[in-house]
Amino acid sequence: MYRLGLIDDEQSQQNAFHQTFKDDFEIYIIPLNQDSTEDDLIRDGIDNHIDLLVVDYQMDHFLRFNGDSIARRLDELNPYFPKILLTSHENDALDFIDDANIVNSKDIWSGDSPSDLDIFKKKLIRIINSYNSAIDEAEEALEELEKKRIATGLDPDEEQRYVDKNTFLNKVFGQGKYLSGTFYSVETNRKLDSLIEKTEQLLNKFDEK
Amino acid sequence: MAKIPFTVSARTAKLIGQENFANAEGAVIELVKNAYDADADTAIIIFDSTDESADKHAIYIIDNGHGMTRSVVREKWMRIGTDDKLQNFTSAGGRIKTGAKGIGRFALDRLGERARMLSTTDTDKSLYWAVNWKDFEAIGVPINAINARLYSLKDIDLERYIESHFSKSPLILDLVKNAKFSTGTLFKITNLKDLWDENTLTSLFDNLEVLIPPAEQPDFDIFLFNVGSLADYGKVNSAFYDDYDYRVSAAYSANDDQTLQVTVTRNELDLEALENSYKELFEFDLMKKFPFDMETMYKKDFNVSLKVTNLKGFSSVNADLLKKIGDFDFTFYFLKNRPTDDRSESDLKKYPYRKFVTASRMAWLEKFGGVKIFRDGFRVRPYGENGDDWLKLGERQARNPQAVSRLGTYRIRPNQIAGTVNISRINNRYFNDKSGREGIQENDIFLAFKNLLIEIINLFERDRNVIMFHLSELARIRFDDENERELAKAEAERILREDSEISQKDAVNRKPSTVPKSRKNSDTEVLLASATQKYEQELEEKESEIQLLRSLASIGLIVSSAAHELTSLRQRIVPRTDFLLRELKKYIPVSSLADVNREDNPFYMIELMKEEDLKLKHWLDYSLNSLKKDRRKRANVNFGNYFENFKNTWKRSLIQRNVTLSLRGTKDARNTIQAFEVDLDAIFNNLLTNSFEALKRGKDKQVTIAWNRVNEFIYIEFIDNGRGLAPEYTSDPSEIFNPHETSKRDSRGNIIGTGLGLYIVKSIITDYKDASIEVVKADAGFRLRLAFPVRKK
Repeated sequence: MYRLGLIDDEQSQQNAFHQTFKDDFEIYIIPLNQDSTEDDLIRDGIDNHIDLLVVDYQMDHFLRFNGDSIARRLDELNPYFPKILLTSHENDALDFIDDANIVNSKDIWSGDSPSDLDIFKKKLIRIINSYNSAIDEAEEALEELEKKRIATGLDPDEEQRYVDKNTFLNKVFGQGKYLSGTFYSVETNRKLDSLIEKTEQLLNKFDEK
Repeated sequence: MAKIPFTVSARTAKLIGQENFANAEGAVIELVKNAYDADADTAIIIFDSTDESADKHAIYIIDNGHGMTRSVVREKWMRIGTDDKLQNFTSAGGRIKTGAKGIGRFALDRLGERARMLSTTDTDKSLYWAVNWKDFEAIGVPINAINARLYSLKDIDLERYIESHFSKSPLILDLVKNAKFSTGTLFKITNLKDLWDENTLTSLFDNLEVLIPPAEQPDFDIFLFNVGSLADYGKVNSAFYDDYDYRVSAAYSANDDQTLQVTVTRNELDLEALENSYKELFEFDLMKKFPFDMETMYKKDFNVSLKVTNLKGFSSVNADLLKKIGDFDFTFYFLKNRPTDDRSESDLKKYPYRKFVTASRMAWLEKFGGVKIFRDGFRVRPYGENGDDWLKLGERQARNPQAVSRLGTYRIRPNQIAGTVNISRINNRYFNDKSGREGIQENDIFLAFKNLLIEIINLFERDRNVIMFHLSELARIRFDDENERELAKAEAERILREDSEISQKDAVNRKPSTVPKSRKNSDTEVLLASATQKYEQELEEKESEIQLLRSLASIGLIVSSAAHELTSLRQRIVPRTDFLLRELKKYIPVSSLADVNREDNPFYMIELMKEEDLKLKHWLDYSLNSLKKDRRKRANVNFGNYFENFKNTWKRSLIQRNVTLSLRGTKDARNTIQAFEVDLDAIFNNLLTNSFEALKRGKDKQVTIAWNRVNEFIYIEFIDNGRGLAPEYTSDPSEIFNPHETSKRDSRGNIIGTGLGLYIVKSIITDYKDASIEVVKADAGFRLRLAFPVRKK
């Protein structure tokens, strides 16, 4: 069962969320106080192993920021981490959020349309699945490419894929975790040396003229 | 056991009788009513002040009615407070008697100390009756101890008496000869109590004019003469007028079906012009139908018969009430008192008005305007007197001040109507006089009657509105207003573009333009073009403002329509969770769920529900409060009490937003103004919600409202420690009160606020004379100072 993390400043909304999703997900309600920062709340969620972060939009009567600010900070840390903005003020939220796809209405649990709620739950599972699959796929691909790099070296396309997967995983798990320590030391240094040499030659020619 | 009768002193009886006449004019009119009741066709009032001795100045009131026989004088005239006119309410000639209480003889006392009467009938000889009212002044004398003298006259009758007394007044002699005074009654009152000079006589003459309903009283003429200057007065004219725009005559039949027979005469438009130049008018769908069709329009008048229950708002009126109103008829004239409906000259092009002389209309309306009530032919005061708008037509028009050119709720103004309502003592017996005789008691029946009159007026309003609206539509199509506007807009753009091009060239060349003067637009053209553009822009802004206000008003209307259900919900909403908790605890101890996850604990869930319900109740309180009628009435408002309630209303929102509202001021009676509470709500609710917005993301959020009285003003400071005035307003803070001014924007700088809150606040304050609002410089946060003048004593 996946674990959803919720940031919402209203207890009744927290409870409504809990009751709505508890049969399909584990729920972790992220505690907040007036001094909480975006980083505090995100770190708390990650530390508690959430698979998807659900953020309320309108919270600045209580906190010093709204949900859009948390979403933006999360994008900086890991743009691929699953997140949803759940709000009673969809229109207002759309004015402040770049990615309109993450904005959803709290009407979803109003009871007006149980089928919409089912679809929404499936959507959440799908978002988490996609994210997890992307990580698995990147890790597997990287493992293959790494083996080949050490054994026979990579052609230019493979080299590009190798960098992309590394970049993705670095964003997901933090900088420097994935890219091989030796990847930049031989081939890259050779290319850089060659580039510097050619540049110097060009500059000398200019000076002669 | 002895049975002893009540008795009354003569003096008391006289005083009670006198109470019935507010003034001397009323006493004269009462005596004229007696003449009417006696089936006279002529009544003459003569003032004779030619004698040097004031004691000999006299008022004569003479009629050619059937006179009084000895037995009538003994049994009816001498009986004070007789109910004869209640029992025998029609005269021998079939008239409904107008007096009712048998107190007419005290009218004589009101006018003078001595009264003499001469009455000639068909059967008896002439009778002479005399009384000295001073006899009534004797202390302790019972009424039945006072005697009047009564004896028969052999050699003189009414006609001869008049001929001998007024031999030098040919006008009076001619009148008596023509009107035949073979029978009738004459009163001579001397030792007059009032000074009858030119002013009072003119006033009486004018009042007698309005006493007679216009053209509906053909069989009773009144004449007034002053012996000293006979030509000054004469026949009292009735309020007949034929230069009207509309005449509506309605007869209500209270029995069975309660129907109205209405005759409408249209006389406002020039039919010839209509036929020659406005024929397309009858191509509109509504104008093809009766009574707007061409044929009916040219006929000028039409009749309709309709059930009262089909009138607006009358389907639910109690049938018994409608019956009790009784038969009546109502005739009124509509006369607009300006040549056009609007001040615009273009109206004359739109509507083919019949021409009229404004001054004569104004003068006639001045005298005969208003809706008057006549009971059995005589005026019931004070209805329609001196601008008395007892049907509240003015208020009604002010609520819907819509131009006649817009289809909907066009309303007549009270100074455009002259009407008479004829009621009678027989048909309208539920209309009881107030004890002071100044009007009719305002019971349910009279109120229903008033509403019925207003609906009859509305039949006319609807008729005129439909015709004028279609004429206006025709003008719009024909004169192509829209097209003209577009052309003007394009022309304005061209002029301004050319002007700007020339200015740019001049700037580049650094010397004045060489464009010939004839090809340059004149300063006036540039000014007009610039104004056209500004007006266009203002119009657009106003339209968007109206649109927004309309949608906000709709929200109010929706809440208003559900007010009853919401009030009942408001009462139940909070206790219901307490009831549930109390019952639940009987079966599940709270301690037994101590280990359950808080979010799944039913007791916690019920507490949350209660919290939500309290919030809901707060909003219901807020919405329902502003709909309360008493908040929409001007009343004395003490700011101490007002702000205490205000804080209470906002309590939940303040807690939820972590905002502290501090009140600094007292409930001292000096802190009171006259205001509509709903206005204050609009002001302070707007200011507080603005503060909520400004306090977002802050810490230690504070709002302070402080008030105190200084001289004739109450000053209120509204302060918050939020983010303060947006930088763009610091140079001129008063700009925040302009419509559509807002600093509330999204992350891309798009305006997301309405910018109407402070504009509404300012507009309301402007409505209060001498009140003001200003932004006060604050080191941190935002500070406003409002000043309200205190109520005038």
